[in-house]
Amino acid sequence: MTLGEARRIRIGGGLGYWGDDTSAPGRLVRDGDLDYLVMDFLAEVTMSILQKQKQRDPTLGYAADVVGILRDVLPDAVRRGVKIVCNAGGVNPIACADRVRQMADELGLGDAVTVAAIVGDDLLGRVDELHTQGVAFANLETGADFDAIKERLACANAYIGATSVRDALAAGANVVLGGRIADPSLTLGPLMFEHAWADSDWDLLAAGIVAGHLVECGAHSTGGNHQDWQKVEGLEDVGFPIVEVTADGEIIMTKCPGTGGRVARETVVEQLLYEIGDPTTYLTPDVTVDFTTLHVEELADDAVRVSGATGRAAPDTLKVSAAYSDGYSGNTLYLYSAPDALARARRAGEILDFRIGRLGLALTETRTDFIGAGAVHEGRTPHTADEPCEVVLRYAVKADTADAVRRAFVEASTIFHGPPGKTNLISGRPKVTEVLSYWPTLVSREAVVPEVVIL
Amino acid sequence: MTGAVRVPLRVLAYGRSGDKGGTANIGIAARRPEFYPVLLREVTAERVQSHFADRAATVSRFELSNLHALNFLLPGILGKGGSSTLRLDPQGKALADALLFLPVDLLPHEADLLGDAGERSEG
Repeated sequence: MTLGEARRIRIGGGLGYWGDDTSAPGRLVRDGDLDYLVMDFLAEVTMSILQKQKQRDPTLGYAADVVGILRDVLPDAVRRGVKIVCNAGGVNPIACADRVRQMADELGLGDAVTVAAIVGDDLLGRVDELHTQGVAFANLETGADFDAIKERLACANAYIGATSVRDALAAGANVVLGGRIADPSLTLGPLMFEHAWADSDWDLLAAGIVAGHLVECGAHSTGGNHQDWQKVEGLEDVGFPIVEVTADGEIIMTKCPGTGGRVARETVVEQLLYEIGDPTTYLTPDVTVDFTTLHVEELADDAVRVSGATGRAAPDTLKVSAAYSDGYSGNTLYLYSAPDALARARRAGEILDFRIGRLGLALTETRTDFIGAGAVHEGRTPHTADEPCEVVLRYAVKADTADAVRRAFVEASTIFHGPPGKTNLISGRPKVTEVLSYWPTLVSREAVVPEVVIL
Repeated sequence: MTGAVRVPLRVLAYGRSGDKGGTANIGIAARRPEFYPVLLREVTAERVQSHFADRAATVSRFELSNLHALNFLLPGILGKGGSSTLRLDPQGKALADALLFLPVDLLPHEADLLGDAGERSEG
């Protein structure tokens, strides 16, 4: 690595979601010639699941996969000088950092590892106080009043930005474990630290966010989930993404050497378009990014340059990811075979509607789908298949109580006396799960003070 | 080649969709720069709304001419969010596929751009 403007920081995206390929981070560290490994563990309602775990056991509440991943990765990361930044801390970054600290010691890495936890994003215990002080917490999408769900709140975390990641790195950490750090900010933090970007270098911060956006979904930018999947070779061994970012904000996107998959204009553009809104105003805790000034250029096989990012000041508010308990649901799956598979499944659905309906359960919603007969696109395909050989009847139920859902599924088992040729695709009774509905809202920036804790 | 040709949008574009709460976005990008004007003309917010009329009351369209791409927002199409809806495809991952089935009419000179039979045959 050389000094000056040509110095490129190489960051690998080792995980796109909790449950992603746990071998990918180790491979990136060993084969990717990285400076940093970043990993995104959190989705919109992951935090509510983690809150439940923490309520049961105060030493839990983080994405537990991180322990196995870091056990695999840490020795090589330390040897190669690769630093690790992730949001696996969930709703308990301190407990997560404690566990990782303990593991590093067990591995004999001791002083070679400095673990930082970033706290301050979890608002669940402060919501009442903030609401009393005048924070509306109205639903950002619907405008609905917070009081309607306040008593059923399961989690509330402010999306926090890259500055605390930068501060943790500046404090000497080589493993940074945060909670609800915004996905792309995990990448921006190391870039702010390494390139000494200021909090108001908007165009550079925007470039860092774009780089983060390119790696935050793991192999979704390297041929995974690609529309032209037939053109992607080696998808069974798809490589995870790497971005190299210069001090002036030029990004070169590639992937882990020696892997399958594809990095091309199309895979990069698809990822740029993923989960964005108004492309001139992509809001993050760090900067408001304009995606309409980006320039995407293929340099070689598996090397794409992304340049031209522009940004402006971040909003005064932070987005809050909250979720609330909203009843219970479950679904059955019955496979019907030819002849007349669709007609059999339709008749079975009618029978279930009748039998479950006459119980008078307080169900809030039922839904019937005929999988194999256009259930996903619902008539938006230009052609439907001729009589399918098999159709799966999916019967889904939602209610305010788990008992009502369970009772509906007891009744559903009478469908053995319905049309013939049926296979139950779910062994035993269907699982009844708590419904957690999403409540996006806002909080003022001043109300959230992230803090770095070194362990 | 002369005469108007109707093709599914996927002949001209690729795309990806995803969720943000109850809102889904569908991003589509032209397979070749020459197709972008066709997307601008044919794939209007109104046409996308009518394609999803049973599920989305409003659709917003945003242009990314730098990427030869359009982004559509469909508020409320996922109800109260991916973890709440009883629908299949709760996170809207297949919505891009659904939009790429949209029939698109090409003017004769645009149809000539399709060139080889492989591109046409998807229609």
